[in-house]
Amino acid sequence: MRNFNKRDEISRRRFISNSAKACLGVSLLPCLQNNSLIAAVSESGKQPKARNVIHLYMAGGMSHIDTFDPKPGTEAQGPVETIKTNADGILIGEYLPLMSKHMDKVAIIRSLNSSQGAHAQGAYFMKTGYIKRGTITHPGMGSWLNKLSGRTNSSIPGNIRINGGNNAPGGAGFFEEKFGPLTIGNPSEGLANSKRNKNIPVKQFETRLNLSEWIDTSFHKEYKYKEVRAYSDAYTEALTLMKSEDLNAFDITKEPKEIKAAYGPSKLGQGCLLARRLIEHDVRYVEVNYGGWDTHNDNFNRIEVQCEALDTALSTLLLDLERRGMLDETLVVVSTEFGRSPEISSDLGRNHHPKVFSCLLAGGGVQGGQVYGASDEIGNEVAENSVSVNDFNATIGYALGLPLEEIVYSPSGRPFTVGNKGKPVTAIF
Amino acid sequence: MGRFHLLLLHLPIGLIFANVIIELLISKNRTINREKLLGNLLWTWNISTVLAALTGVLLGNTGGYDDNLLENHQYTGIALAVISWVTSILHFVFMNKKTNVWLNAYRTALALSFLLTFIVGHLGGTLTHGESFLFPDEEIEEANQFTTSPTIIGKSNLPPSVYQSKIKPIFKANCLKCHGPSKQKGDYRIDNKTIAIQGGDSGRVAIIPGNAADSELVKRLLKDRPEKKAMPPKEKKALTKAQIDLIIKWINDGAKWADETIASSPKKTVVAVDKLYNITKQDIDKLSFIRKANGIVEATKWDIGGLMINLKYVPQNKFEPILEQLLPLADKIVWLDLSRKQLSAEQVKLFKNFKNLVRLHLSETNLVNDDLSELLELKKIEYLNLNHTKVTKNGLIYLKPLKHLKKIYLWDK
Repeated sequence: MRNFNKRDEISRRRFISNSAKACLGVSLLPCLQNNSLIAAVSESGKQPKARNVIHLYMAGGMSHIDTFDPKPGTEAQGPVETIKTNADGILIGEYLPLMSKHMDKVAIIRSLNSSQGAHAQGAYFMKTGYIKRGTITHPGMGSWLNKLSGRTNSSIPGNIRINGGNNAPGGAGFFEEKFGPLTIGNPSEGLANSKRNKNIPVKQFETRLNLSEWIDTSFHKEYKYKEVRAYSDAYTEALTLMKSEDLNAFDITKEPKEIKAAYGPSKLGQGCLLARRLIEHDVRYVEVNYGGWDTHNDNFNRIEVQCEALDTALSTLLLDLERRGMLDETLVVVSTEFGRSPEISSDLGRNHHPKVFSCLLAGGGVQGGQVYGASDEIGNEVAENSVSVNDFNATIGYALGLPLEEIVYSPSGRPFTVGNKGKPVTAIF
Repeated sequence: MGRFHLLLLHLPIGLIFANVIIELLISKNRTINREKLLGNLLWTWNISTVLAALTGVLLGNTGGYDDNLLENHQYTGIALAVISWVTSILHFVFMNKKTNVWLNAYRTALALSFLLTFIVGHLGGTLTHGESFLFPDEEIEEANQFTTSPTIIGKSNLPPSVYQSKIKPIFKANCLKCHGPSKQKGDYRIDNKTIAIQGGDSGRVAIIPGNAADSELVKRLLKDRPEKKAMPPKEKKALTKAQIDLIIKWINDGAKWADETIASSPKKTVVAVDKLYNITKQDIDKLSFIRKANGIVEATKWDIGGLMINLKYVPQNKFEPILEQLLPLADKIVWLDLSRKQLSAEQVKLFKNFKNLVRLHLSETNLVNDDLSELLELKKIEYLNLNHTKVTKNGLIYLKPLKHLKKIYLWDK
């Protein structure tokens, strides 16, 4: 209680500063009062330019040692060779030959670390920036972006998830449902049920809509709640979408054959192609999921197959975005829930390893051809410039120009921020 | 007069100890003169007890105390005063009759008084110092740590004097007695910014800057008075409607505390010097017509500041007047997206006004090679997107003088 009463006492420094102001009519230099200002002034020339995000999520835990953080000459490396890239001094795994020609566009963060070592919890943490709890569901980055910044193209959804389930983490969370992702199960099929059934003429369709609206009217008048409105919003959005001239953004069959082939036949490749089309039509956030990285056994054969899909899809995506002038304003993220252990098990596998792993950032103002942070000689622990999952999420928010300090309250009155108070890695911009 | 209670109450506490000690001494050493030593002391004790009780009642009536606790303290206090008299009278009788029955009765009464003094004293202590005075619980310790990193909330440029001139006096007159330095009912105090915002025992956020409707403080101010959680409680003077309205407005404006300006104003000045094109909220508000037309206006997070304006999804018919309407703020626009627009010859001529443009999107427009000559004034431009236009390689010769232009896009299907 005594401490309690001291809460509003002013500090000695503040007292002297205030007395100086009062007696001498002067103020201390502003920079002495707030250290963060010095940093803000000296880091000039940073221009985060991202408007939209393509987030390639490698579900299962992508091995960092076999992909973007190789450890040649150590036992941890295993049989995978390393190759040089077009970025000076940056080596990557041999199963990423196409990416080796595009590393000048990519910043690798090799010092990521997570506190979550299980898949569901790890994915939740990576996609929301918050640790999974029983009492609340946190929104994913795409929902944050749409909530805080809004859509560019209002006729199609601003948040889309490809190859993922409706209940995967990183949805609308405690935000309104409209900020959450629209899920597309198969990129080749596009958006299911988005065209009017041919058996129903336009006139009849409109009659039915009017009828449903008429039935709802009195109910909506009586119960003016967000939850009730959400239902009619969903109808309105669906109808806007059906009429939208941007609906063809969902149809990758409109792409030339060469381009479809260049992205590769995998669900990741076709998902990336769909993502590029969606971003072209100014969808703010597209998440493409690709599983199969949980290589507890037969790691080295499986990694080769996994990497082939990633290599083809990511390199083509970066090139395609760049030549269309979109890479500047599109942040491409490659992330995963954790890395894989330096120890190789008797099944020739690698186990979960959240202590250190790698993620990629490209475009959106990120300076390519660089590595930020490092793991130790065998990729077991962070050696320098540790980047937490919160920092990583805050970096995405920073690239998008989102207000990282802005407190958003959940309906229950609890305060939350983008990236959960992580420090953005501004050095990569 | 009531305030003398705080002084007088210590007399009976001291005296009862004296009485008990002397009584113990006498019981061991019979040679001591009981009447001389104890008689007058007991009567002094009786009088001081009554005086303490009387001033106590007066102090209690001034209000500001927890009702239940006050009631208990008051009744036990009065009981103590009565029993003290009973004790003295029993002692008086014993001195006359000198029988063991009376001695035992007197001693029982004395022991009872002694016990009661502890109870009354503890209740009184709780009343003035609060529940957790003796055994501070951990939650409060944690809360203390939290205050070491004050959070600054609210970024609007409204004058902070509102708090000092209007809000603070309201709090002071109506709330501070129970939620201030001397008492923190429900572990809530309104004079400390962090706690005032965080809220107390209820676990609800008391003040949500910018959102009065969901702030617990406002909810309680607006509750019907007989209700338990209504503030101020029903015994106290209610706030006027005007006062409540003012508090609501203040919270909606961001609930700015007076000391916030000291902490945040230097930051603003530094940023203003640093940013070439400082964007104010008024600038954004002036451009609200763009948002109404389905366009986007944002202040960039670039170090130089500046505006980003995206008109790609503004319907052509609404777009016609907009480019001209942008002219007053043209200097501050660094990022402009005019994709999908049909631009008239006059509109193309307006380009030279946007001198500070860094990024310009003109994809899917009707631009042709010769139009590029109108871009020569855009000396700072770095990015130019001419995808899906009739512009060809040959047109790029016009752009040669633009020294900062790094990327030009001419993609076509």
